[in-house]
Amino acid sequence: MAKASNIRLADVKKINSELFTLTYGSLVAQLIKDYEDDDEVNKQLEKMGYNVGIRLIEDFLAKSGIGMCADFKETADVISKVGFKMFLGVIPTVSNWSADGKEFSLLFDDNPLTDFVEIPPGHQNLLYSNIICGVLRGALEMVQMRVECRFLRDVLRGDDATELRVKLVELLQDEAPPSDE
Amino acid sequence: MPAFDSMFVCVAVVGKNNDPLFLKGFTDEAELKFHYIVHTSLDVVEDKVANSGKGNPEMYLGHLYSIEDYKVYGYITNSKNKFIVVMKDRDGVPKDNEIKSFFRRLHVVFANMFCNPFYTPGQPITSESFGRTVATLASSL
Repeated sequence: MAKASNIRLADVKKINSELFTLTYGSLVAQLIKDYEDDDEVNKQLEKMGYNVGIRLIEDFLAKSGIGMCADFKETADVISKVGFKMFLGVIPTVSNWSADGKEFSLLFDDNPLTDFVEIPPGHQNLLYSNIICGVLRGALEMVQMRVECRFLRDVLRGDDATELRVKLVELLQDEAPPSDE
Repeated sequence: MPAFDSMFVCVAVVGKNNDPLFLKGFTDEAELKFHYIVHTSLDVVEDKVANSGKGNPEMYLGHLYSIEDYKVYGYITNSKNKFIVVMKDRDGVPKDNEIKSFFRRLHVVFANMFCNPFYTPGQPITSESFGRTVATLASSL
């Protein structure tokens, strides 16, 4: 697809992936120490991801130069082939479309966030990569889509694959700007 | 079941304060005996390290000492983590190169385990996958 190759690779700065992985790992470990509750940590990771996503989308649109997507299916392809490739260097597979075309799954063969990680026993509910869910939610909200993202399966928890489910809840209409009063 | 017993009878990881982090025996011997053998080898390790003095010290320490029918080999990292390996003394004496390469691979596996954000340095290694990888490495010799 011509659009994908328009990414100006010279603008993409690289850092050592181990540094990135270790930084994220430290972050999650610290959150666990602070909050002590897996569900709370999951929530915080998602919130942090949301804050990243609403900003990341601008960077993404500027670097990729991709215009509006015709439909949700195209959105899914762009997310996996351009978005994830640009920021995490992986291309998850888009699959398991629902009948109404409003839900799909992203299957990850590998995830740079989770290199070397083993979740200690007693933290079975921890969604280690939950920041990704937040990033997707935030980014898509900025392009007028409200989605819900959650991890269905995770290799770190002993499942056979990592599957992220994305569900389009509604298309946001442009809201009138807040009145001056 | 491996077709032949691996030469390795025990693999141990000792931290920089000489605290045991990991010990795995591959025969039916009581673990306590291996703990004793590894503990004794630590003195030899300190000797060797002190003797190598200035200049480029090698990480591979070679044959440390022999006890009963076991031979003990050592390897120390720059972060003072030590790997000790106990082998059964047999006719087919393993070449130094093979042991060196085993230690190098063990070092890589150890570094990967160390990068786990949930592993606290200095704590005993409880990771099952580390244990399994070490067992596979050991039986491959």
